[in-house]
Amino acid sequence: MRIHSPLAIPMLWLALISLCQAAPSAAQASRAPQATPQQGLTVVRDAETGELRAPSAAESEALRARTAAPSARPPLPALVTGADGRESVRLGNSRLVYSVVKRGPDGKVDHQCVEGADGVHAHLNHGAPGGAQEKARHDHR
Amino acid sequence: MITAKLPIRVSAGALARLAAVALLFAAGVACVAWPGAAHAATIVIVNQNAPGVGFNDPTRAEPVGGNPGTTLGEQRLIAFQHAADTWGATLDSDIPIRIDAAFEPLSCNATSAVLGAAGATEVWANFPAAPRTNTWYPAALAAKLAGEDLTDPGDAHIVATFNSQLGLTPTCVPGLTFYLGLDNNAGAQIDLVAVLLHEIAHGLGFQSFTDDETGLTLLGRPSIWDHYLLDNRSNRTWAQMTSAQRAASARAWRGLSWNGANVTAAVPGALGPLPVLSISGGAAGAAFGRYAVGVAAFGTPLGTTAFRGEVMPVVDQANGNGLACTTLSAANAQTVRGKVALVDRGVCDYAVKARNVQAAGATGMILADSVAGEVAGMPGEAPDIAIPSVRITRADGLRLKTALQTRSRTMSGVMARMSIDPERLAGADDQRRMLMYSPTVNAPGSSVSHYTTEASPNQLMEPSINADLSHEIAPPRDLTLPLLQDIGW
Repeated sequence: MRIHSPLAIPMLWLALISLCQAAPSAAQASRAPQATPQQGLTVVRDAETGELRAPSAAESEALRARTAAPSARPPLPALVTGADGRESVRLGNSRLVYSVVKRGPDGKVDHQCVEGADGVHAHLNHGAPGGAQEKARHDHR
Repeated sequence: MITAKLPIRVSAGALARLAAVALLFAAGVACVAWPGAAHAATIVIVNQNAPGVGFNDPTRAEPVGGNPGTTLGEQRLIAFQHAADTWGATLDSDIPIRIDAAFEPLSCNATSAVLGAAGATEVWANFPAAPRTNTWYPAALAAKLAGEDLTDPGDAHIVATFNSQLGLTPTCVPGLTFYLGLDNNAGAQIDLVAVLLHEIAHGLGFQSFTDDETGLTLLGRPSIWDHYLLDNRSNRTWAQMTSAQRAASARAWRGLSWNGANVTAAVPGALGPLPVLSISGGAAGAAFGRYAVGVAAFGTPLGTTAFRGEVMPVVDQANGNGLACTTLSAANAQTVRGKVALVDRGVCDYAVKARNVQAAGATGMILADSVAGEVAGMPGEAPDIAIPSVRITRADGLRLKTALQTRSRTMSGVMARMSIDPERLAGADDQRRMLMYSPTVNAPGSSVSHYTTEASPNQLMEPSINADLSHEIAPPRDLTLPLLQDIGW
């Protein structure tokens, strides 16, 4: 029985394949999430089965580190202080929680909740951003 | 319960926009028996859509699932009202909660889409009657606690936007549409009411405003959330930790618990027992021990009476793995007959694998993940499957396979015991506190601000909205309301 090293094999087989340009049709909408410069659907070839699949969280992180500089949250507005000491910060869209859905080739749907435009981008273009565990939980295979 | 719609204009800057306001008065109505839910709040939905689109889309629609609307826009608004009504009848506040709501085109492509987004528009600290100083509260909660509306009357406390194109255009996951019924019968569609209940909860305060990736607090102050988010290894809350410590704890699987009294009191009645797999036997070697497992939605559920069997692997791949996606060969069938079959994740559905090993005579199935990560469940409907199945991590699968290398054709000497631990709860820590979602690789926005994916039954505020959810938001079925009560609702 061959037992593969979980670390070595992805380095040998990891294949970044940009299948298509994403279509952020909402970019024009005033309150739509902001598109980021990096677009494209990313898959990896599984080292053991040979099939294409969404990258795991670790693979996504590795790909992101190799292909793009990490993006930062937009700067927050300044603190507003009232006469009695009360304080507030307008969050804008910076802390919105997005609900994102992804349909697999078999028609089954994975559903994920992510925060901010970064999380949306990661999910739409790289699969589940949070790792195999939640992706796997709601996959049927 | 009284529901009224009043047409208004949103602002001078949006003259072209009509706004319909749905005032949801839920006075004196309690939908649930959970203590503290006997009061009510008023939730005002401010329709931000222009005429002809979104909530005002005139496309004809047939009433569905208790939603009597006759246009797409009406049905969207009614579903939105229904979700807001559920929260309004459950929360307690003298200050009306305003939600700026719209259906607009959001990011999507042929296979993926943003369903919607919601959140608090602003946070407040050091306001009159604030329970904790130097702590951020979401706007709606701050208003309740202060007894006055801190937010400008023209602004909302929560913003919520949903995708108006989902499933309706070739470039937006064609065919995958929102289910607009109110009866929790979405089938293969996206249950809008469930998504709304989830997203509105985030807007009400079911989230930290501290960065879950860097651990940096917002302008140097913790969120009210952070006072209850406990690193269960150091026994310190996020409010007591450094940024580096917070960032590390956000990546500690099973390392974050919710330390609020309301949630902790409700956990024993809400969560089921923890499923476990124990490996023993003369050949177990380093694989000996107890394993965390995900359970299957099909087959015989695990119980207090343990299921026992000898583990034997399916091998149908050149690399030694066993996918069991087709009828097992005679050799594999002989190997797993009367045994617990070890198979690998991939290529076909979990239920297909279970069906194939069951047909070959296996009495149970252990599925080893093919992708690194934490334990997860196995969804699927398969009433024809009777054998019990559990899922283990890739790392644990490799450990088990190592022990099986000394097997003969029909024996391994590695024994499996599948059962539940009545002393432990699925989704809770050793102290029976609710676990929060903290995957080892950070998932921005998912980590920390959701319940663990190990909860059983599934909870509304897990990172994903599962198909088996009801529309309940309170115990004994759901733990969303007690968490909001912990932070001050």
